[in-house]
Amino acid sequence: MMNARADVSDVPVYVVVGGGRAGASAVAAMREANFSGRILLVGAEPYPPYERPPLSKEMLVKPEAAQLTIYPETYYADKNIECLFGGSVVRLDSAAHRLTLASGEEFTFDKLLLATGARARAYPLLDQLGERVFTLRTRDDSERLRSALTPGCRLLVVGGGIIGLEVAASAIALGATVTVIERADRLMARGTPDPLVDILRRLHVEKGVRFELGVTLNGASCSNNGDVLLRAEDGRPFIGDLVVYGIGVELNTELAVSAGLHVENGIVVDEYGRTSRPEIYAAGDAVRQWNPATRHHQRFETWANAQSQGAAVGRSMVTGEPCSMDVPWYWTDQYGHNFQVAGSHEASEWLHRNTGEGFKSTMLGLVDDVVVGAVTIDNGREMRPIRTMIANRFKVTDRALLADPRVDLRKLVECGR
Amino acid sequence: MKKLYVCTTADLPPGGARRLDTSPAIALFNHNGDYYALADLCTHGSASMSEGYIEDDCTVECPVHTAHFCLKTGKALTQPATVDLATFETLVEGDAIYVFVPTGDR
Repeated sequence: MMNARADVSDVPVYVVVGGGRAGASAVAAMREANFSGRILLVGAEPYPPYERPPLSKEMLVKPEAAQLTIYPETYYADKNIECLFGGSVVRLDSAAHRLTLASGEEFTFDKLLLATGARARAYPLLDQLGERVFTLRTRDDSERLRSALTPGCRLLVVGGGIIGLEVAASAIALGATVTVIERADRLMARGTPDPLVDILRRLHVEKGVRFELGVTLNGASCSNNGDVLLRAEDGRPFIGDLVVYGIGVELNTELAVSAGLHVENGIVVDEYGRTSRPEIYAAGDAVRQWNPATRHHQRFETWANAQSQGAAVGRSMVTGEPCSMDVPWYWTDQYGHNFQVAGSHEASEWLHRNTGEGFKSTMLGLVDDVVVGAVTIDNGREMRPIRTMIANRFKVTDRALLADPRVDLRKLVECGR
Repeated sequence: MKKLYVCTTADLPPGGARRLDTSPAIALFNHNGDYYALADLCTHGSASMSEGYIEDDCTVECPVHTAHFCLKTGKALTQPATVDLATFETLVEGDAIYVFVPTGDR
């Protein structure tokens, strides 16, 4: 598939390490920005780039309807993007601009993009359960879990974050009984507005999920009759057939660290996506990027960030222009409902726009009368104008007007009220 | 093809959209006085495009995962969608808006 030999020609060579969302968006953006040099995309998994959001949802419940592939197989050849899927990079010599693969092959590059992402954080206590324990990060993980999740099975989900809750919802749909065990006193510990956490908890309980919050585990074993037994510090047992855990991620920054790049809770990059070696760029989950508007470095583990930052950095590598930075945004789909979250979750006040139609509603997060964040539930139509409100630091002058679901937010934004 | 009456022009102001309960469902949009009809079901996931956000550049953004489609051609313009939406002919007679709906698959 690959005959990349960077040293035989004088056309510039851009290499992208990481075949996930950010890497795929980056190579596409390079060609869209009319880069005519060589592009080599190296992915560790043996598949062309695919979407991860369906792995915990459609892939488990309705795999025949799941659309994973980001670009059709022919896309890469059409765009003259050389691909190496299933190749792991073992060495980065930043001074010599050289990459070494596990196979021993070497490539030199003019510019490099690290889009190495993250992996599921390991929980050694649970990993000793062997084939009864599952994590969810890759397509292979999802397929393995799907074949084990059968109607009536007793699933123990460890970690009440977004992966845990999406898996819980999918497992309920498949007829499993589900217990979610979380160490913190609340679900979705990071990055989620309180009102949404309450709604999600109520929804899951209504569907039959049992929550065990504030529980620290200190034992895990398989008993003779085939049950999995987890034990809490206070001695309480939890018995099931399968365990799925989602307790966050570990960043794939080893390559960047070994190459001497500045890494501090992520690969640190500037507003162009450049690392501490200016010809080496980085994007995606593993990256902490400088945002000139907020004067902070920020790191996001979301699809939207991987997609937009990947594209922005890929473009910047070609054009030299700084990345435009979007308002942070993510979604989750659970029990057929679509939840979207934008901006900051640390609002001092949440203003509700209830439509009275089922779940459909919007909440606007305010700090000092300024819209800083938002949640929409089955109401994504409003998210677009709200993201503009957040970006423009929309100041609320009339709360009743804003709380009226019949008022078109787009018009409010356009007239600046 | 069947010529299906939808509503009057006054019922569908610019920036507005309406879902037709046809098979397949159709979303009718008004972009600055021009009417466009696309398949209502987003090609990426189960979302009603009639709930989408009509952009100034004659595109519509899916309300669920923000893929953009061209109103004129149905073309999938941005991720996560990669498959285009079907398009349907529209017609305005007087103040009445019609959509031409395929009959073969009904």
